[in-house]
Amino acid sequence: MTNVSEFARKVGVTPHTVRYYARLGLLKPQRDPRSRYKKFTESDIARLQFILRARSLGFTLSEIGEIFRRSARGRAPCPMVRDIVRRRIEETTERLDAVLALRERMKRALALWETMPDQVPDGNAICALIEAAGGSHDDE
Amino acid sequence: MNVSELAKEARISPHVVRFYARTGLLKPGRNPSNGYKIFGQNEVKRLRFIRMAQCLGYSLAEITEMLRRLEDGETPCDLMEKILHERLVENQEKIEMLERTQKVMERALVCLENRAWRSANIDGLCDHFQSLVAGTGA
Repeated sequence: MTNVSEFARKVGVTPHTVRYYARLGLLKPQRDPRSRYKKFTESDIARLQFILRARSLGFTLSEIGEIFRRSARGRAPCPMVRDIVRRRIEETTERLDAVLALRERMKRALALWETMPDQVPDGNAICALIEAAGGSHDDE
Repeated sequence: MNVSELAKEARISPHVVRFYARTGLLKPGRNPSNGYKIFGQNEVKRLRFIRMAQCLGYSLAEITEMLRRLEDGETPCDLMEKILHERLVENQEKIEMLERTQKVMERALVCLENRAWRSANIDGLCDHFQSLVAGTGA
């Protein structure tokens, strides 16, 4: 049994994070009957490690809470976790597409600018450049 | 033209036009008879510039600075190029990060579709996450 700060140090997070997760009910420390301080056990360490790994996979805290609740009711959380992972994959694909498209637009703009001598300060010329580089912006 | 005419021409919401005017990106005149905003040909060009620059990922603060330079008769080209070069580096990092995440997720999904992960036991889930995340150094 360890207290908040020792527990936090063991897992490598801040005590603030530990208290926050406890407040959300993701961690369920016992209370020291005399001091009323929170006390954590080995199973809390496993839970916290699970939370951290799920977070790194892009799970939200409320999704993690739902996984815990299902698990506590003795139901396999797998179908739910699977749905979340599928959704995250779709979202990540969309974000990747957007970032890749932006990269193409930026590269096109730079390539265009390199072929041109420095423009006289003329809003029109620059506008035309950006327009050419922006390309199919309107069609997206 | 007025706000809604400009918005229609640029195919954006009138809210956006008003927002640009409020933040000084657009500088409409006033219709003397009713006090409404009016936009001339120059504002149409400015708006097109703003939209295209946004499409290239420039922030509104950066666009404001570019427009200021143009107003002062300076060229914003150097600034625009410099920013874009920096953005490309950030963009590359983001792409790599997203691709790493995607790989972890895809492996997690394969794992989840196996029968191996049917247990309601958090410890089992934890082991899986551990091996998944450890495998990529993420």
